[in-house]
Amino acid sequence: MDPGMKIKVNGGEFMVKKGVSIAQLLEQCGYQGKVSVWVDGNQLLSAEYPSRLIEDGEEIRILRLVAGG
Amino acid sequence: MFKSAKILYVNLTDKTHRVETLPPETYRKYPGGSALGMYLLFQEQGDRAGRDPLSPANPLIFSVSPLTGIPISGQSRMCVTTKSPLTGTAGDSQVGGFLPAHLKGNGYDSIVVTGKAQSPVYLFLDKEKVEIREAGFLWGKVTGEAERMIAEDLGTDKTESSIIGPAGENQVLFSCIMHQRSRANGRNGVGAVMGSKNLKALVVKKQPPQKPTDPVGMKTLTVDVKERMAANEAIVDLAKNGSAGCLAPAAEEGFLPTNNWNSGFFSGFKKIDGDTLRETVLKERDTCFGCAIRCKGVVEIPGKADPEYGGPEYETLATFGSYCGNDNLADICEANQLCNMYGLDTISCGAVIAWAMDCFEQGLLTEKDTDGLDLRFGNSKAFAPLIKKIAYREDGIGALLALGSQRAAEKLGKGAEALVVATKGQEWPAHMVQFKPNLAVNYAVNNFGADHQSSEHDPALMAPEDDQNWIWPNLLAPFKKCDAYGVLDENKAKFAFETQKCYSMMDSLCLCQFAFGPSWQLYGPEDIVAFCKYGIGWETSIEELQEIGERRINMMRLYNLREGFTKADDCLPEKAFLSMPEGPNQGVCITREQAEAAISAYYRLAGWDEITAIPQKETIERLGLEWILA
Repeated sequence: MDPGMKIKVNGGEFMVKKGVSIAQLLEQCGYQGKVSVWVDGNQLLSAEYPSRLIEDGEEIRILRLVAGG
Repeated sequence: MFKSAKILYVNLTDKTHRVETLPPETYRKYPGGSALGMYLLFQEQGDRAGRDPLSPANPLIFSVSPLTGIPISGQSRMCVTTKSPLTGTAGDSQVGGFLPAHLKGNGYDSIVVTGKAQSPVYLFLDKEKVEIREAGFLWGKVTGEAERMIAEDLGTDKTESSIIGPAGENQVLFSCIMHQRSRANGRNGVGAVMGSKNLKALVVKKQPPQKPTDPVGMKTLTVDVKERMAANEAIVDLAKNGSAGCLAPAAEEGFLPTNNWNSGFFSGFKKIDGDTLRETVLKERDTCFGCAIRCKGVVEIPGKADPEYGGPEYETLATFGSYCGNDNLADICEANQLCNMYGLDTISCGAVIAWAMDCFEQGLLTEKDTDGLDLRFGNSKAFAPLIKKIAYREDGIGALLALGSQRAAEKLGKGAEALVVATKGQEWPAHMVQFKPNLAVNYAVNNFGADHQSSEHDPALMAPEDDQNWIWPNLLAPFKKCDAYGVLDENKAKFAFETQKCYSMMDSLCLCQFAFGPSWQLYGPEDIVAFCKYGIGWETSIEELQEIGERRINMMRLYNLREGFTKADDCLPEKAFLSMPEGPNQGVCITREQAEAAISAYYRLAGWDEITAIPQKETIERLGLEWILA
């Protein structure tokens, strides 16, 4: 059985299965709409979200992009 | 190619009118909306400063642009310019809907109303026919009823109207001008100026749409609009939820102004957010002339909210919701309807009630002062009676709150000033500066008081580099990346200034800032250039458009200087510096030192003196505004 990987999301500890992409993580965390994502301090392109797989121990930061209204 | 602007001057005192034209070379510098309005305000007022905004001498100016009425999303907007009774500054307020397109269809670029009618009147335009009609029978009527009675009086409903309600008649300082009962020239108290002139309504006959100079070129912007919309997540959400869609994300981050800005964390947000509104009370979506987005929400709650008065937008959900600690959606919808009936700005009205609730909680107001109303946070049952008291300026709490929170606090004393969240007397809209710190600069320096639609919001600087949100602002100027909330530095000051110029240009060309803009919108800066070319044959550039925006900002600044405003008025209230006390972003804040440094950086970028905040000679000459000082 896959024991999963321990990562950090916005400072909190989080378990994900191997092979999970950033896009899947965002869905798992309930994010809707535009977000920005940093992995270990490096910002990703939005085109990378579906293909970038998460690795054990990575620190991920997610910020929502909330505009005017 | 620019044509002349056609300006209708109406003097209500002697009931005369005349038409003048503005040459194309002048119109190109002040191409409609707010820029044209400011140009005409200077022309009308000459060098006479210090006028009472509610005196007959204060002009009330309705302006559209050369692009208005050409069918494309987001072009049917109209600006009202005057000296604001709320702020004492140059006054500015925008509205969408259908009237702007039809005003242009009647051949007018601007209407300048001066004087004061001896008794109530309304103004009716049908191309060359200009009628100042008796309106005694309309006085005292709420907006919806007045609109119906005007149709009966004219014998046709083929008209569009901008109408004041009882609040404007009673000169409440944050009263607005309503169009179609649900769209408002909301801010700066322009309804009070209209009321002071005994002018109940501006009514225009419906006319066919404008034809673009290059219909084939226009199609490159409009033919694929559905695909454009589908590819833009922000627009998809706007079409689904209206502006209410941004309430939940702000709340989930803990940046929804709560209990008169004492917090950003509102636990009841799910009861008032876009999803709940859509699933429980939304009847349908509505739109403006030629717009595919359909962001307007129409709600229905039997006995509480009639669809004819539309529905609450994000700002209204926040001001009557979290600002007041209220999670009762039905009471927010009712408050929205009452404001639209009486003609009150929902931002200032909700905010002034939140301020009164803060005062009540702290014992600065008691039930003796509130005519027995319990104004604790969360008591939304107080909204309906309180809104009526404000609209009619009833003695006591109604008359006090009708002044707006800043003047009311000055009158109340006892430290109530520290609870005010306003700049230049205008209550802050629902975007926290801890979350979007560039707005701290904008709220402080903006010439007509705090406004959330006068610069782009900070999250664009956090967007991925392959995202439109990042690419489009960088067409205006190169920016540095930002990677956290609460960052206020020179980069943010630059973002505030450059995007303010862009928004200022859009308020001049009368473009909706949900459809056009420099970040998340449907059409970007290059599309605006293309629209100018295909729409009216105007070969322009992003640089020229930015300069138009900058010119309008400087005109307003020069107007305000003449009215006695100084750098000291470019300030932030105490609550701007609150460290978020709870929620997921607890501890995020901006400091006074950061704000002062960023505002100074803004002055430098704007070519204004850092000590006095006055535009420097070179800036005035570069923008061709020497005539103002002559």
